[in-house]
Amino acid sequence: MTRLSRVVPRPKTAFLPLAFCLITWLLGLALSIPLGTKAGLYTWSQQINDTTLIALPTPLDGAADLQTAPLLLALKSAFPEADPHILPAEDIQENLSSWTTAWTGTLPNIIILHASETLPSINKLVLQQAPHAIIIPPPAQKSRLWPFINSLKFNAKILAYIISIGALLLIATLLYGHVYTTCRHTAAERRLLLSLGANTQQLSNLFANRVSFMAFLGSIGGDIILIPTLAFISNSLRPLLHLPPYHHLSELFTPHLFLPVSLIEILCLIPCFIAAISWGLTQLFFHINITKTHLSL
Amino acid sequence: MITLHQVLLPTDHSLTPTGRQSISLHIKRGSVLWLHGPAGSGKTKLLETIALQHPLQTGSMRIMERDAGPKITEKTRGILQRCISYLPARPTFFETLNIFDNIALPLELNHLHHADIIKETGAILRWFQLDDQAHKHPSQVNFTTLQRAACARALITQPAILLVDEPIFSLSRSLRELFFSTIKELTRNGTTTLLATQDNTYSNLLPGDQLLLPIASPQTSHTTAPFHTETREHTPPQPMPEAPAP
Repeated sequence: MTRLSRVVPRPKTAFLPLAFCLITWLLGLALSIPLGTKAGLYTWSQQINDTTLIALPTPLDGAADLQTAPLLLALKSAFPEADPHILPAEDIQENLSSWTTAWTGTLPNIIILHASETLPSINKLVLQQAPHAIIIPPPAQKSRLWPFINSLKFNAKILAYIISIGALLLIATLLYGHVYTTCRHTAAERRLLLSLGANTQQLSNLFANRVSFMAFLGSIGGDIILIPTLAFISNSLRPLLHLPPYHHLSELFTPHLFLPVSLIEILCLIPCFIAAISWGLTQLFFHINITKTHLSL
Repeated sequence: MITLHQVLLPTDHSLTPTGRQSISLHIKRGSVLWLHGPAGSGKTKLLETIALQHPLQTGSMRIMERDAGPKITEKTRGILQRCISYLPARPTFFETLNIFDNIALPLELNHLHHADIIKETGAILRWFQLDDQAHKHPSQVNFTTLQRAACARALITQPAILLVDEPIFSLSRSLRELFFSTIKELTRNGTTTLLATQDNTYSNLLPGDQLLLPIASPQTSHTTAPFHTETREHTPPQPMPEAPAP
């Protein structure tokens, strides 16, 4: 360690790393809220009934049979994601028996598929191919829930923006206060260093390196606290999504289950981002304070 | 070497009606200038201004052919401050460094090699008889030792300009003679020296020009008659003379 680095002021309290620990926790939470809400709502919406049934009239002369195969083919080619297929006869028999007394006639052909947004297009196609077909759409849960889901997503984004901006303002305020206090308390030492020929840039570089290192350490601490926090929150929400409680931490980041895997990569990058932003802001505030001190001498 | 033109400096109101004096002077390389005057006459302020401790508000100043006036750049300030040693009335030290490191710091800031720093610092510590105090921290030594250390720190870089404030002359006689003999040696090598004092008797120890402060008229100019009239180039730092035999 050089003599210069030993005389350049260093952050003496544990306050700075602790503050950056909290800021990282807040930033991580802010990033997780919209991603978690999106993934959670996706999982939730998957469980809404979107089964559409297309019943073709009971075949008397085999005409319906002739309609079923081309209609199924057309549906499969036009809406493969809806997974159209013919309901097995046993299932049809079981369903009909639950509605009424035992079905004695010929069983109708029923095509089953899963769709909600594409339902109007499916209707159009079915009526073109088989005008006598009866379409039984799914309950209108999804369309009614759509505004609520959108509102949740929007509010999650707004909340994330507010927390992120708050965290960034907190970083700026914290660093300005720290640099200002340090510059005031060490004005005599700094003046002596400058009078001995030290360069202001050398001083600010050394000081900024120290502050950013402290911020980096604090931020890693924040990440370490953040992961169990997210695990706790997501585990608490899993029963609401009809998901079983997880047994391993890795399940927290299972794709399409709750939090996306990319989130953990972003969380790992937060300490680097915090260190970089702290370094830049410390340099800026140090030069502002130095200029002020020079003028006030 | 040093040129001041209409630089306004504050004085005590009892000494000048306006409480300010305008100083214009030219000091040649290798000359010695004694600043005389009562307390509040602006001696220390003048030294601090030349030491670039205060930003110049009015007038102009050139040091070593560089503009050191109100528009001085940070780069120029750094370059000039490495060539100027200012020995203030109350020298300050870094408590985190011991006496050795405090004295060696200006050499490190001048980017000298580690071996040279050790050699030069060792030599000047012996010269000022500070060997046995070298590893103590400033709070652990007495005021006289601190003054010796301040002299050593000011002289270790063999500065082009040396500015000395009065209280340093209250050193013991032996140390004062040692100090002045070192300044004489540096002056021969081209160092320009300004010394502030209220007591004329000290000026016998080092012959030089005299400037009485405060300057009454705001337009008074003063050009020093150089102690060494010939123009000399600044020589690179020379190794410190060997320590005197105990």
